[in-house]
Amino acid sequence: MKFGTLVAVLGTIGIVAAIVLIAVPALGLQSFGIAVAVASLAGLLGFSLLSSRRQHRALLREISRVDDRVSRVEYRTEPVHDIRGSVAKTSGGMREALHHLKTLVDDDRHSAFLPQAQSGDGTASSLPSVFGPGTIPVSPVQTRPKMHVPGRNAAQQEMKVPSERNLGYLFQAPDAALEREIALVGGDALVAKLESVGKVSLVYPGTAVTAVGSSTAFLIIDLDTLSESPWRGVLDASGTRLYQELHTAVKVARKRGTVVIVHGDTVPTHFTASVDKLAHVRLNNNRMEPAHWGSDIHSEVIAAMGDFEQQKSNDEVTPQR
Amino acid sequence: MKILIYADLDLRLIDGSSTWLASLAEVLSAGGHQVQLLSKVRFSESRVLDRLLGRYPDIGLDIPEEENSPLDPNGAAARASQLQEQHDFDLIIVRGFNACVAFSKHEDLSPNLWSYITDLPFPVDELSKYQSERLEQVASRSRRMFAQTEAARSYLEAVAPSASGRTLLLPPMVPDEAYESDFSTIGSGTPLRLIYAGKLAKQWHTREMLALPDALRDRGVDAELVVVGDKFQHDVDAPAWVDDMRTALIAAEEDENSRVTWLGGLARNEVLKQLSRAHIGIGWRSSVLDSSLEVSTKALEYAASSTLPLLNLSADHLSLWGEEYPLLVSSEDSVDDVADCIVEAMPKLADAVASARSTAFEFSMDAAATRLDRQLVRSARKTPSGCAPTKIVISSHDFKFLGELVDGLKQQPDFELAFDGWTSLHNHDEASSIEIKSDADVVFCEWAGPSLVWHAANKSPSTKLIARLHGFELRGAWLDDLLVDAVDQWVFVSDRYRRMAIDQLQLDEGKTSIIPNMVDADDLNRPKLAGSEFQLGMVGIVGFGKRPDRALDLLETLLEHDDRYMLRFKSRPPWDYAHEWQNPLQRQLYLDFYTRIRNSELLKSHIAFEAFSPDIASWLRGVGFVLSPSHNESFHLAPVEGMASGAVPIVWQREGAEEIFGKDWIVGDTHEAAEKILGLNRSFEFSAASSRAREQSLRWDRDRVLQQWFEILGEG
Repeated sequence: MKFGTLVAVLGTIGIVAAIVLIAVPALGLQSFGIAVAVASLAGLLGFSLLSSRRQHRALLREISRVDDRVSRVEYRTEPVHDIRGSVAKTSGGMREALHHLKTLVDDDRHSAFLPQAQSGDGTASSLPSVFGPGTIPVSPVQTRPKMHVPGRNAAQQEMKVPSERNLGYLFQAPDAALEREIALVGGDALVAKLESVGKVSLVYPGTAVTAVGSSTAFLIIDLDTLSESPWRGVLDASGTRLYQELHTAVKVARKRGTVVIVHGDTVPTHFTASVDKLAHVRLNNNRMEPAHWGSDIHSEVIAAMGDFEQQKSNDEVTPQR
Repeated sequence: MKILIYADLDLRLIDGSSTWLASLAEVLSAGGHQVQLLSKVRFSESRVLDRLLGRYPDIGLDIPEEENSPLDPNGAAARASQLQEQHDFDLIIVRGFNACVAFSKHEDLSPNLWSYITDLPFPVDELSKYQSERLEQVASRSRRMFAQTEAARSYLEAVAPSASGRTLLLPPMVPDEAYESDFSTIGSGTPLRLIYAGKLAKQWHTREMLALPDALRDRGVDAELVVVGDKFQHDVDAPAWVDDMRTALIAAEEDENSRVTWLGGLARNEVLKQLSRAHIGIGWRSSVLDSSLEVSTKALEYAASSTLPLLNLSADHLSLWGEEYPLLVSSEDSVDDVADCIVEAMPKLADAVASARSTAFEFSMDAAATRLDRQLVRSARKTPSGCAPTKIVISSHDFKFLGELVDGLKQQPDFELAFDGWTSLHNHDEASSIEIKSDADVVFCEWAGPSLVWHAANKSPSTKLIARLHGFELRGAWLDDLLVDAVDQWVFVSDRYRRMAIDQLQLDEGKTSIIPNMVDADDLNRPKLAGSEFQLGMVGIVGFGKRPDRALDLLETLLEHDDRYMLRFKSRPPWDYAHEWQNPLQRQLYLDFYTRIRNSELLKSHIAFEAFSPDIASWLRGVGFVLSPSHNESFHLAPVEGMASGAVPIVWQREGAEEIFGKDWIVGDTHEAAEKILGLNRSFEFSAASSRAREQSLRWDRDRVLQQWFEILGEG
């Protein structure tokens, strides 16, 4: 019999005996019975405490054993972790290779944007000017954030082609592509100045619509010198046919995205108001209208015309002195 | 506040992660919050928690019922969901990538979820598309994110855009008892005591450091090394390393002349005791670890214990410990090089201790408690007042100026938020708008556009209609159709536009208010990078009224004096906006702008174009001057954000600018702008100007401005 069982049996016998001694007054052993009961209970309690401490120690031993096992497992699985590391490295290498391939494809796509630079007749002059209205295209939006995205994330959007493509072209295109094409309606007074910022072609009646081409960045109507040119009388009702041709050419150019500048001044006549309406910018006496973005905006063409006006006014002042 | 914390770790083990969990629970409990821990594993004893629960018996602990089945992330999230139902936590802090993903999927948890991803895939070549999407999912669904360092926050915000503006710093916490010891003097019989405490690993140079006492003796320095730790880390590239390390340690321990003592693994308080006896703690590591995003908690503990950490030279260490810190070595150094460094540093050690300890104090429990308390007050959901919530419908086609307002309203349980999203300025689903606004107490039209016209025409008598007018709307033909009297309250971002609107629309002035745009000043307030005083930043260059050409003029002028100046544009290019790019004159102005840069080597080599991204606070760390050369603006948030970051604003004179920015930052022209910048740098007043700008920006801080919004919206 185990020691624990023996203690339990003895304890139970003691308690039963105590109950009998207390319950039968005739025996006259009630005090003794109480003493037996207390002793039995104390014995049982003491044994129970001892036993639970033993169990606790066993439990701690077990935990320690489990700890050891965990450590051993950790130690033994280290190589597995290492293998995982190697796998990560290998997959890293594969990712790198994929990235390289993707870069090559992207480079191809990028160069596809510059066919004009590589094909055609191979001469620099065949390159479209970056200032041409259609040369640098809008980047189409692919996705926008869902509705109700508040804050800066609302402005997140994916483009169909990388936005950097246009910037890359602007910075890397051959110098020949940097020439502005400027069409001038009027006399040749402005030509010298404008040639410092672009290639100037004078537009003559009869060929106006074709003379202002798809790569023309600016169309300038110089009111100051109209009368010295084949366009003499274009703003007068007597020159309605001539004005119709000019009007059509300007409208077509505007539609393509060419900037229309009306420069100078003239005595008001039948079509002066109409021609003013065609202008994106009205320049006169170094004043620009409208000046949505301030009068000091940096524009090469407008600055060249400003220089011309400045020079002219200087020339006018000098003889008086 | 009632806070639930779950970390994807085994609380039976003592390591940095479990210590972090105990420290966080301690800091929050000390701050008077009710903390409940959810354990991943069932345990009967956890040495890391015993101390904590002894000091804070009110901390609740929920452990899994099954002995041998630890909670997986989904199981933990499901259990947290049950606990949320019982306790209605104000905050749920979760650590570990997988656990954060699992918790973020629960709609009952995510509104109060604060995610802490310590196992970020890093660097970028470790970040797959799948992981990137999971990160973004966590970031977009969490109320807040935590990052351990500025570097970790910048990286997280860059790879998970939704984390921008909602990521808070949670630096390591060093236990109070670490600060209890003073620096012991060296010499007169006391040898220089070196200590290493941690795992024994090749990358930590633990094998090499055993030779340090000898190398120092050769240089006339009496030194000893104590090694604490019994975990050997296997190295895949050197399989024999562990055996070699163990043999060397045992040999050194047995050799009386080696001056090396190996104490094996020790309990945490014993480790701290050993640290307090040492002069230098070794943190010399392999170069692989130089690019870590995290700060070494061990180094902080060394410093807190008045033991100077010997560390690798890295940008982060220079920034944390100071340019003059004497114990910085290279990962590639030999033992002799390290010994030379120590010998050279010896006269400076006593002085360096004070500075290192003061650095470590920033990571004390007290500092953490103050920081966390502020973060909780600013960001956690408020307690409801018990009244029925006011239903607010926000109607808009563009929510970009609403980030802080929506975030602030979501924090207030007394407001119920709904959105009437218009697909464009002019278009919407009318049936949906009617349904959404049907039981609204307040309809707020973010723009005085066609949506305001529609809501004014379809207004219910019991609904309050509030409109914000930014500026461009005054040119809109739709205002002719607006039932002006139906609008109960007008909000403007500046007085100039209020005056213009009152004149144009014949408004009752009593129905108008000025509430400026707002910024999260705490989020933007980040340490500047070295050399930022030579970096000019401009955010947004489209349309041309932003005047990027003036920025070029300014740069050219500055470069005549000092070639360190750089100009950084953070913006989408104009061709990303079809309506802007199709304006012929504007297109030519931009083409002139770009070709001007292309044709100038000087400009090209001093300009950076950076793509738009929401992590502007991180970007602004590198910017010293933020430019606002615009010809016309109703407010201009970008320089305000710059000011909150400590960048000095340079604002070109324009109508209304002084009302917003004051006189200090306004310049008449480019020449004046250059003079201002050169003057501040010449007289070393940049730092003072930066502080002034930062202080001024507090007037636009979300906490202050939100209060004005709550007053207007709450009256509904």
